[in-house]
Amino acid sequence: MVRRRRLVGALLAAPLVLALALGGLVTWWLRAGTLPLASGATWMTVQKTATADATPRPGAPVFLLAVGTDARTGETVARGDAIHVIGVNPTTGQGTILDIPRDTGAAIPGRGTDKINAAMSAGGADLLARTVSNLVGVPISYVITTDFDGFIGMVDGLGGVTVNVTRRSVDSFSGANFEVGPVRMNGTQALAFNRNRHSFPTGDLQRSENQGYFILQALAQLRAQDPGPGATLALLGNLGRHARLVNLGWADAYRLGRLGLSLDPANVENVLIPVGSGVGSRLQVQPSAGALFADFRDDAILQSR
Amino acid sequence: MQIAALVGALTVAACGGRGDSARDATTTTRGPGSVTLSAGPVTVERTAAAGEADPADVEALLAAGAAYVRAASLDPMAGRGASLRNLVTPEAASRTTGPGAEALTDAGLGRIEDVRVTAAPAPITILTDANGAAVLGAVTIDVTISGDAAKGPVTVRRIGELAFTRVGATWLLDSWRLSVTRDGRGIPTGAPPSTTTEAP
Repeated sequence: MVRRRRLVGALLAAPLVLALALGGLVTWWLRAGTLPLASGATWMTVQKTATADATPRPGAPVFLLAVGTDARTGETVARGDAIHVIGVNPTTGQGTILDIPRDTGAAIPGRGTDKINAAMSAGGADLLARTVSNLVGVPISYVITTDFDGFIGMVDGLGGVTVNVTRRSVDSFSGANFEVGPVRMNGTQALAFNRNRHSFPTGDLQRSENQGYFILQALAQLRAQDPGPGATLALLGNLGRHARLVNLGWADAYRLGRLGLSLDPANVENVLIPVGSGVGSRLQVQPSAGALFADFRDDAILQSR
Repeated sequence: MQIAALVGALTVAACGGRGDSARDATTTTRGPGSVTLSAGPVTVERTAAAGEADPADVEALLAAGAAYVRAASLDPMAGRGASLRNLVTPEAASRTTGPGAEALTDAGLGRIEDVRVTAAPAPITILTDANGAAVLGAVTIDVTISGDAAKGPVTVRRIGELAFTRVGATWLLDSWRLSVTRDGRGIPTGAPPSTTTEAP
């Protein structure tokens, strides 16, 4: 059970976090006439990093880190098991999601080399952000973190996400049981889809990529609601009850939401970073990642692909 | 989430001395630089349990919206520049020029005489913080400006949302989603086309 919950929290966190960051969730809820706001449960933490540029260059790409931890109710120390760097180009509305498998070996500042997911438990979101920033070579301005419990509330609040399942998946570990084709997933199903790795030859790699795909599916649906500034304020009102803001005010949060909404999912590439076998159970970042990261860091767009 | 819209509108009307304006379908004003917005439905989005629409905030947001219309449209139509410099946040300042600027202002339209402004009631959304204080506000505008240019009549209709953030005692424009339609024989050749803009 512990294993199952950990996987669920880790794998589902990022898509939900981004879904909220994109700002259409509340609009969706409002239109559906249901507002699951009574619990006041914390779904996520949105943190502006210490390295975030206070006066960013106009039009400069913005990089944020979406993290799903394996924290369970009451736990304060957790690993970052779902890790996605999201680059947004505010000028073009394009972007890229880099999916980083949790077992990727990385230099963790002050901790030596370890699996990248250990950075979160060792030093929280700040250390994970620095680790990812060093690995990819981009400045992480925001970290959005969620956990198992937060994810459940978000998915169900969203009213489901339609996913095109491309491989029949029956997995007792995750609970995945999907036929090929479009599936409107509720929270539980979405959890299973995002945590399932046993149905794929490449295991966790495919799972990480599936998470990125799920993010894009959610984004596409949210953007279809076409929320404007007023609807973004509705989102923030909801976030205020379900999110913890660290080092940022409401104007920052508003701009972050609008930034997310400026991103057209059709113009976002979802890319698994190239990794291969490494030391022990660690995955090693492949040499080809250097060119990928360089392409990513200048404008958040992958021209080379 | 919705507060009593009509109550809000009437409160604003009373505070602002607009008389029946909040109950009218539109507000029409004439004269150089003159524009009045009345409140449509007012919605408060709360980040905490408490938080109501302060009539003073609604009034201030309407005034900020009117100031934008004045600076973006009426000033250039009166032969003055379209300067939003003092109305926008530093973060938004860079977006007032370049792509999208043609929908943001009516610079380039030329001088317009006998200007008449008709504004539909403006729905307002306010975000309150944990203390119940308004920190962000969105004003939806539907403003039609008509008048006479050198070559004939001109009508400009601008529809969309303006988002303001509170900076001290001032509400500054931070983002927008606007669509503008420009019609009439008086539209000069090479004038900005009908267009839309959004920032971000």
